[in-house]
Amino acid sequence: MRKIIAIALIDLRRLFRERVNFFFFLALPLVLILVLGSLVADTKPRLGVVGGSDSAQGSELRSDLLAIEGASVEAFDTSADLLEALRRDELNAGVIIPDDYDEQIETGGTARIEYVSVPDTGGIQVQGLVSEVISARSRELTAARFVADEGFASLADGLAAAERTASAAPQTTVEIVGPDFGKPEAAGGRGFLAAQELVLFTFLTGLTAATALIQTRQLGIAHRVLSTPTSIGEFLAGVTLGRFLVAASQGLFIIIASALLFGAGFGNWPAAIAIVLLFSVVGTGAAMVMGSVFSNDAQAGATGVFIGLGFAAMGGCMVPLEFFSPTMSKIAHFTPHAWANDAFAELIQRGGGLGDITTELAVLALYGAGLLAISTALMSRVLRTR
Amino acid sequence: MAPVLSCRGLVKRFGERTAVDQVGFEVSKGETYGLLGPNGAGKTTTISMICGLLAGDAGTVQIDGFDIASDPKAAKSALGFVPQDLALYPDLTGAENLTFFARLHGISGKRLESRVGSVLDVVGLADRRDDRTEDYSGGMKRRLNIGVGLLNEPKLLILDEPTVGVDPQSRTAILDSVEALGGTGMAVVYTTHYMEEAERLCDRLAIMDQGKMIAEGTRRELVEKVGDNDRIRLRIVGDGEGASRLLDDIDGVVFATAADGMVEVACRSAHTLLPSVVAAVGQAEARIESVELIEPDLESVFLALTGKALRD
Repeated sequence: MRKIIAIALIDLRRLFRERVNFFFFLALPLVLILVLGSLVADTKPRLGVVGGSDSAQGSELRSDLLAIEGASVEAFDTSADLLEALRRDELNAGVIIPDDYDEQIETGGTARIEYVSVPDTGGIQVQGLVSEVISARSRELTAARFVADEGFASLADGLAAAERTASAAPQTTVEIVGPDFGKPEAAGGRGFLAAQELVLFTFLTGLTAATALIQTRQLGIAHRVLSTPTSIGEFLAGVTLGRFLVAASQGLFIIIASALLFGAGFGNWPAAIAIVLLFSVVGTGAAMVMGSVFSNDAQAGATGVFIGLGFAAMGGCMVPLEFFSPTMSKIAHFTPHAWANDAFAELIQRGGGLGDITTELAVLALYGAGLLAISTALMSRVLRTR
Repeated sequence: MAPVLSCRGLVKRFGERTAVDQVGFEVSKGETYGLLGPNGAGKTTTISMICGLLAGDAGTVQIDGFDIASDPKAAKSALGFVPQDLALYPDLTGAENLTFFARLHGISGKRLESRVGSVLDVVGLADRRDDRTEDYSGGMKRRLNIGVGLLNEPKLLILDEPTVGVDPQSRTAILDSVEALGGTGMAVVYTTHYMEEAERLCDRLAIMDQGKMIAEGTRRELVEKVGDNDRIRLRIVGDGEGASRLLDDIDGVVFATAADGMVEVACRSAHTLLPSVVAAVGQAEARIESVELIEPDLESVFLALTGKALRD
């Protein structure tokens, strides 16, 4: 075990000996989180509302929407005005209350409320807030409809009773924010951004570490190590542990530093740490596979960056997966990034815990185990035959 | 006494090509054994099999009595390996490199500090211990490379072409160090394609070509094997013809010729016959102005055995 630790620690020692690595490894992810976070977290997303002012039920909904605290809400006179504001990027999203809203409700039909948004993080945030208002309204209407249908009162009386009951009863609104973090918009914004950066950088760092592995072979150090009483298994375990420590320490640093410095929320901490550790195993496995397949470190470095950024883009680290078409979303889930992002979204945006992300964790574990098994077989072969 | 290294019937094939073909030899304690051959002769492949880095297709290797295939840890505990490449981390200091490899030999605690310090002294890098190896000169890197092989005080030290790309001064220093190691009782295997190094360092050697050991023995045995003669070249004043006739009669002289004040004597052992040669020239009433002993070298042995020069 001492040999495995010695081999693992030599990587960390070499990594942090170069000061420039501190920037790429520690500072750059935080700088990106800070810059991107300031774009989404310090300004409230903007929502436009049109319609509903000429009817009783529509006015109620309009008032509720205009009262949303997590967004800057503005009323528009016409749908055309609202869509034009969206086109000019003056809004992140808009809600159009149809003219027949009251009629649909009175007759027991389904009122269709149109939601339009631009594909950005602000759009996603507003969607959550709007959904919350409409869900609450929908629950009240459902309760009122029940009362009316059972003949206890008219729909209007039933609705008034439902509203009274709702205001007196404990609220059951969905919490977006984690238990320890402040405003929902801050948690959803920086927390999820930090998670996306974490996934991107942890994998990218893992892949670029493949160059160090190739250099170890090129320099003849791997063979020299194996000429000592150190087995191939111990060598590979040490190298793997070293890469894992590099990736995991970066991931943990990003979530801890972004929480402390920017107040980013990750929801359930044990679950967030589990994602980081399993995704670090995936990054380590990918690095080991690349380190086995390539024999030229420059080639591996360039390919690593290409694959790292490509997978990050495909896996929802640059554009949230919510904006992907169903087909693209399916393709995205061939990358481990998509599963990690899904898991973080569950924790950060929906307040999930470990039990809610078992599928995502299992998939990441499978990815990690598979890549490590492949890399171990490849590397053993390389070391025995070259 | 049991040999420190015993390898028998080593074979390694890469596809259709047989890189090492039935190579076998033994090295005893205190002996320096050379593997001499041109590039591509199979020396490094042989070394890789001996060190357990490459699985052979046939053959056995025992180091200090332990089989490298069935008991690699015990065998490698007795082994120090100095590869042809500078197998060092350039961004670590000399001391850090030594510490890392010492730990892989299971050395720890006070012995670790002691061994690192001792090796730095031996290779003359104590004053540069905390400098990064990328800042070392080529010769210093080579010396540190050798130092790593000495960390575990091995019974068998294998050096694979340790002077490749080294300046003459550092080369001399390395050869001096290797010569001294043989004197400590360590068994040394030294591969080279430099004939002069093999002649200077090795008690016995094997000549390799195209994966095969084509000859083995001491330098003298190898020379005698190909039947080449020593030569004694004399510059004389006086009766050269008479001297050559007298020299021809000496037992052990193959032939003697005289021309232009020079007498050349071909013989089996120049050192042994020199007093008789000097006496015969005196009898011929000639005076010797200079004497030159010319011994056949390994280059001529290699040429005789393979029909090509060592560096072809």
